[in-house]
Amino acid sequence: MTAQPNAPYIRAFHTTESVMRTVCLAAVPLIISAIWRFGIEAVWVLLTATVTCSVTDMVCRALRVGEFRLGDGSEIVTAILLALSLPSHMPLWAVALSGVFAIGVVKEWFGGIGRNLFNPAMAARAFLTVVFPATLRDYTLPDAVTTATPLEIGGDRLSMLFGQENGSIGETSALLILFGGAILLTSGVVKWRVPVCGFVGFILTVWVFGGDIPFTGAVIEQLLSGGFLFALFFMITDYTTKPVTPWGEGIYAALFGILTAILRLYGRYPEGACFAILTVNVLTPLIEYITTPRVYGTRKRYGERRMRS
Amino acid sequence: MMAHFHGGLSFGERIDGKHKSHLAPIQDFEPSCVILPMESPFSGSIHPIVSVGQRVLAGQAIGRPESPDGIWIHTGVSGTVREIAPYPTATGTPVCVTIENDGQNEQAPPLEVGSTMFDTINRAGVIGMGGAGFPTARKYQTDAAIHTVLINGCECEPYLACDCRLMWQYPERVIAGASQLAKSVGATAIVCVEDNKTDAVKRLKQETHDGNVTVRVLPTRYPQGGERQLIEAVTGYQVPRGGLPADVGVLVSNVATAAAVADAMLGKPVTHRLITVGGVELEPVNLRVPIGTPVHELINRYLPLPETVRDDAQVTVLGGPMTGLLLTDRRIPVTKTTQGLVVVSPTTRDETPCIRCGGCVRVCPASLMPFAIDDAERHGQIDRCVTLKADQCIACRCCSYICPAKRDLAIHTMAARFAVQRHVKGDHR
Repeated sequence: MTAQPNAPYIRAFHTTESVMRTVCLAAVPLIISAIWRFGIEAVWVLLTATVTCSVTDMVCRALRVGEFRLGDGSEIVTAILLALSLPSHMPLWAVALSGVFAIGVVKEWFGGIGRNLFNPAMAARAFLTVVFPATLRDYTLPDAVTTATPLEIGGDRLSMLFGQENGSIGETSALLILFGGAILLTSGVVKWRVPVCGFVGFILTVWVFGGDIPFTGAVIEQLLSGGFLFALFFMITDYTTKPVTPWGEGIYAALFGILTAILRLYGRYPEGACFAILTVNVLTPLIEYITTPRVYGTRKRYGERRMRS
Repeated sequence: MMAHFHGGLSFGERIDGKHKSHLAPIQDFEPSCVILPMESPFSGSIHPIVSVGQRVLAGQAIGRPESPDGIWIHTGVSGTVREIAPYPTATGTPVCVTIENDGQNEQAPPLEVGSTMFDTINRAGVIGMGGAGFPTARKYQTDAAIHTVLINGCECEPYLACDCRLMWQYPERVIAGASQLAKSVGATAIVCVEDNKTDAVKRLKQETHDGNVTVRVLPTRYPQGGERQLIEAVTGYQVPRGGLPADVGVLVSNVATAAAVADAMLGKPVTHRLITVGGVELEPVNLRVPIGTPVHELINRYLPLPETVRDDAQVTVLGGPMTGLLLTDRRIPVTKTTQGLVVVSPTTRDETPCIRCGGCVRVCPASLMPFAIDDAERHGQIDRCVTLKADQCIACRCCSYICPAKRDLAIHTMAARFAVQRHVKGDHR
């Protein structure tokens, strides 16, 4: 006998799995473009990440709750996002290791889906950056533009938009990332506050501090290069590691934008987005706390006085 | 001022089915018998004043309250009293008077008008017909200064259309009742209707003649019909925590209550009500049924599904799909607060872990954090529920509806609400 159904007897159509499917769908253009551009190397990176993440997820769940079945799709999302943020000539053992780290350590160790503190894909990428920097050595970053003058790279804007720069396999075409972002926004998986606030925070910071004299920063180049747009739509929109409150999301995204710009302009690692994400992940509980909505009927303006009569 | 309340949901036609149910005209339904519980919510004991075998006329008083300001009970059919005995209802097994319908519909003389308007509407058995069934007279006998009476015609619950049909077909009764209720407390009345009921709005506006009653159209959004949400949407006030609408100078009554008040002033007691019967895959009907009609007669007549199908995949719900009560005993009678009988196919899906999508926080009309209250309640952390102010939950079930992990957030949040209410009784700091 099944449990008696409870009100509400109707439920929204979306499920955790359908949300994860939508994110995968939004990443499909990036995957296709990655394979088209980097060929078989990209296929291997993507496959390795997907297999290791899925297997780690199943093994961890079996150990944790004693059931052995396919996951809910979140591990596939992690795998795709991780693979897309790695360079194509990454040694496959390093890809596999980072997949195991992302799921096994960052996600499952903290209690599985919905309980992890850090974005698994980004934490795994940071892990590689710090522990095996050699694996990322050939990663000739598009962020090299930060040291170039706008004149030297001016002609490359168009190619950055369409994806001719050398970089991580999924981060190179701004146009396709925007297309994926549009899928996420129109399907309702992502709400407008995250991309908009992140975008504003980033371009304002770059504009003010990015140039030799204030207010002359190379906004367009910074925006189109590196992993910023990819992180804006695919990484900081991760449900688990962002604040749940609507304006908390906005503050979180704006902080991410500002921090990415600062790390890019002044930081040691050329790619700022990764460490910016991990930093704002830590701030999530605090942002959530300060943006907790005021409960109905507890406003100061009405009621307090009348209430005790 | 933009009319809105915090959070909420918009369903659209595919889910709420109102494009069909709004268009079904009111039909009369004749049951074989009526079962009248000798009880009324928030009211003292009521005693039967008829005996078994006695012949009664439609509109005749059957139950009489012990206290002078109690609620009287009347029959909507003429016939013979068959039984006075405990009988199952939606709330328990109170003593009920069962009256065999002889189908002749012989009318009793109109009620005598009481000494005051409130006495008259108590004698006519008027209670809030929007859900809770609070005695209308007692609500309006308040010491607080009331500036606005909101007549609630939002009917935000999916599928139900009985209030819409009432406003569409009998706007003059609604407006008259609204005017009388407003005058009784020296306030102005606003009839609030959602913008998906354009025909009802048109008819209501034709019937508004004086400035005392106005019609206000609000954007369609669930749970607009919640008392506290409606007050926020129309006046901008929030009812203080632990307070009543009267604390901000507002009273709210359903449109069916207003119509019942208008009838009562003409000597007609509450003997019938409108209900919507149907299902998402069935043709909806709006019925005018005598109070006390056994639910199984309506099911047999209007919800003709094979027994096996209904028991397995579909359930019948008393009320609407969002907040309705699962019908477990089909013998129970329709009461003054029953708004619908709806067949739904509930999605049976296991709960999965919360993914912190923030959906419940966004839709909660009380601005709560349902996912956190759910977690606290499951771990028995009452202190955390108190901090999260779980007592402000209005049981609208938006959180359960929106949850992609299909968690029963509403069940646990409501459990937390009761726990907190017990915990902080009398202390709302």
